[in-house]
Amino acid sequence: MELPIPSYVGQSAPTGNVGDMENSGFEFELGWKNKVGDFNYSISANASYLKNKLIKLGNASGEAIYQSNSTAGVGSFVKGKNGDVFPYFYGFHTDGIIQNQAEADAYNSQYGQAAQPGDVRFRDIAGAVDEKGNAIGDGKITDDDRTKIGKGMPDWTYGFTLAADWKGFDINLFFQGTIGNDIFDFAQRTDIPKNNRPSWILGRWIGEGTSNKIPRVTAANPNGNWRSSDLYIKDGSYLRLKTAQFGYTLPSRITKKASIQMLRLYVSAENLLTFTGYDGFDPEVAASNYTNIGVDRGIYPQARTISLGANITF
Amino acid sequence: MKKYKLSSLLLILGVFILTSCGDDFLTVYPTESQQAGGAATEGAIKSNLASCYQILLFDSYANNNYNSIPLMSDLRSDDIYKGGGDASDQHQLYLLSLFTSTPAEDLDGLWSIFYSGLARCNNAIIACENAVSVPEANLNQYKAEAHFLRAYYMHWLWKFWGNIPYFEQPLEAPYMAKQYSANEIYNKIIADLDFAIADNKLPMAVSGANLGRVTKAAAMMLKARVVMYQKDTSRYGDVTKDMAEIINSGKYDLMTDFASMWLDENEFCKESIFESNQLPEGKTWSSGWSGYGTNLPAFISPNNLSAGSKTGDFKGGWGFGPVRQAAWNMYEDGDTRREGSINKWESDKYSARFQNTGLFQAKYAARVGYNPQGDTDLNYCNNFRIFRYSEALLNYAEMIVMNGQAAVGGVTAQSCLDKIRKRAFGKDSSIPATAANIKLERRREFLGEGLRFWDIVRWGDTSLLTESTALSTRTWNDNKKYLPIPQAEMDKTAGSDFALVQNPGY
Repeated sequence: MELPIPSYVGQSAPTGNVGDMENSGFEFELGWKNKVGDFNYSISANASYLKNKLIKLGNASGEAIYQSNSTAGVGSFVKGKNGDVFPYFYGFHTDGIIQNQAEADAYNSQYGQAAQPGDVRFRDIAGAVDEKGNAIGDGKITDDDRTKIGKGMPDWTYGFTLAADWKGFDINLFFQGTIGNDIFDFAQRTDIPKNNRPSWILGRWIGEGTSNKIPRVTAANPNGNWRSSDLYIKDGSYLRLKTAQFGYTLPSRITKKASIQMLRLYVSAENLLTFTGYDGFDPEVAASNYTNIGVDRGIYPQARTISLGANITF
Repeated sequence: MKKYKLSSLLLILGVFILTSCGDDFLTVYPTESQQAGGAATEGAIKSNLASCYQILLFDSYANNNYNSIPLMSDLRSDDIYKGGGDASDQHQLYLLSLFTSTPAEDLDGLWSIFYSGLARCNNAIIACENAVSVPEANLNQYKAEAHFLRAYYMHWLWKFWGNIPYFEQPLEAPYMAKQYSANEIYNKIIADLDFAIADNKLPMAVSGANLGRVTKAAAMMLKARVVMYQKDTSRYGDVTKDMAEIINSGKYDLMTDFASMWLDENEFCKESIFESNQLPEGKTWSSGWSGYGTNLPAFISPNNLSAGSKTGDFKGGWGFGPVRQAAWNMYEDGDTRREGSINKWESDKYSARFQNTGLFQAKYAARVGYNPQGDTDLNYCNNFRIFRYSEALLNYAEMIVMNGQAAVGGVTAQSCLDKIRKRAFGKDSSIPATAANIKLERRREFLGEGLRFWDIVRWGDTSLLTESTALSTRTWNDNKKYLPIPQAEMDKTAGSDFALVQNPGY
């Protein structure tokens, strides 16, 4: 990693072995192969579980911000801190959408904000803590109220392969998936009044009771509704039929007449089925580096590909 | 046979031993760059110096942040609003304009590029100290240029943040530097400028292939700005003499047509003392640290403007920095500076955005043909006119009238003000050279060039900044003169011997 030296040094930071991280977990693989008469089949599955914890970041304060964006008013949204998973998504907790003027007035007078109906109610967690350890808050909504709201690394990564063949037909299915990863849905520009937005924005607040999750769309945005918060965090768990192949090998006694030793025709598909609750383009979000894991910037999704082919051996 | 062979062998050996090369002959110095801290040839020094100049080009997309110097200065003044898409578009600039910047939302881009400037200038100065076979006059010029550029970058850090770290040698592990108070930084800046000005190391003006290089006049202008901002009365006499020297040098003069001064063909005109030499190419969205273009024109031009399509016609941008109506109103009719500084567009010609007033900055506005290629929003060719001759005239008038200095070199404050007015109106239009008039003419002359806020602060007129209107509500207090030290820097130095102390009030 880059040494966390101050930017005033005026040079790019040298890379060094900074800090300590602890990764623990387990992985296993099981396989089973059998046949019933002419029908051969095999199943193999593997899974791995990862628990990650940053012990020491390597700088004096033990924390650092890794991703931050001011254009859309988002602020810092990826952070690393001693004792926590590295890195994690960072932002406000929210308590739903303000539905009417009475709620807006109560929120504004309590926290000194200028919210209107349809705006996000941010939760104040900085400051005092009561005897049960719950936050009482300090009466203001500031950057101190930002906290860990999710993480991009999955808990479980797994896959399984099903293969079978019977009298010249063969089928091979490979599934792959993750459980426990969050996605930071950063796939829209919230500051430009006229731009393309994902279709879920149609479910935004447009009147009392219409939505408790998506704030109103407004050009003035005095409440800063699009600051990094748990509204951006979506469950990125998925199961995907990554490759599927179905083929048929012509009987060799027929093909030998054309001096072909083996002729196999097949249909194969990639990314054929995806089971996920994520409403963005692709839950398998590409990350350019470790600090971007799970951040969806609307990158072009993977294609579903279907191809036909033949294996011919002379 | 054997005897013959032996003697010829001895002869050959003898020739080798007697003519073997000394260490000097065998040592070759790299022509383009030197080993860190090692001997530097003229080519290596020039490479170092070029890297120092390069920082001048970066502020509009500083470390990928929109931190253009004139705009960052003017946002806190009473001339413009932030504009843009909405309050949260470039939220840190909105906070800047309302005097509510926080350590987490700060001008991090400027901090990064100017400290990189400091490091590069330090390297250039060290290279000059280790120079090998460089003619004395050239070496002095390079040293003066490096000292000026260091003072220039430091003076922005000093103006924006005040109590900042400073170093003159490359930092060693743990890569931290001591924080100095604003007054101590001022003394360092003055020391650099005095070095650059003394002994005619720099020419008074440059031309031809040297356009864009530091001149003695530029160093004197920067010293004037810094001394006047610090209100260092002990140096007022020097500044007055310097301004008179520039005025009497005959190397600079006012351009007759105010509006045309901002066109591409009038870059480095006779009024220009120092500019950043932007070229329309090279910058990309992913790297603000390369390339020569500027983003400021795209930033401050009206959104979706439909004006003309000939080269030089105005075109659209992102709608930041709309001009206040009060700034339009401060000009008298017939003052060409009004139309030269502010564009007034009818509402059907553009899309109104946040804090719209119908008035937009004209000096650095986007024009057709000024960004032909690449990532066009980042690669405009408009040079930032850092120092203009008219500022020398107004500085001189201010010194005489407002700071009680004696006239020098036969130049009078009234004649300076008259020249400014005559150029503005195209005919004689004299007004008495009083403090109020000089302040007003300075505001009219430099709208959109990043001088107004610093002038208000040094004149103590900061009550002008507190306001409560529909478009902007803000309250000034003296702690707001400095921005907070960026949170990332506080975090990275926290708990160490070099822990940074945050500016008061944050």
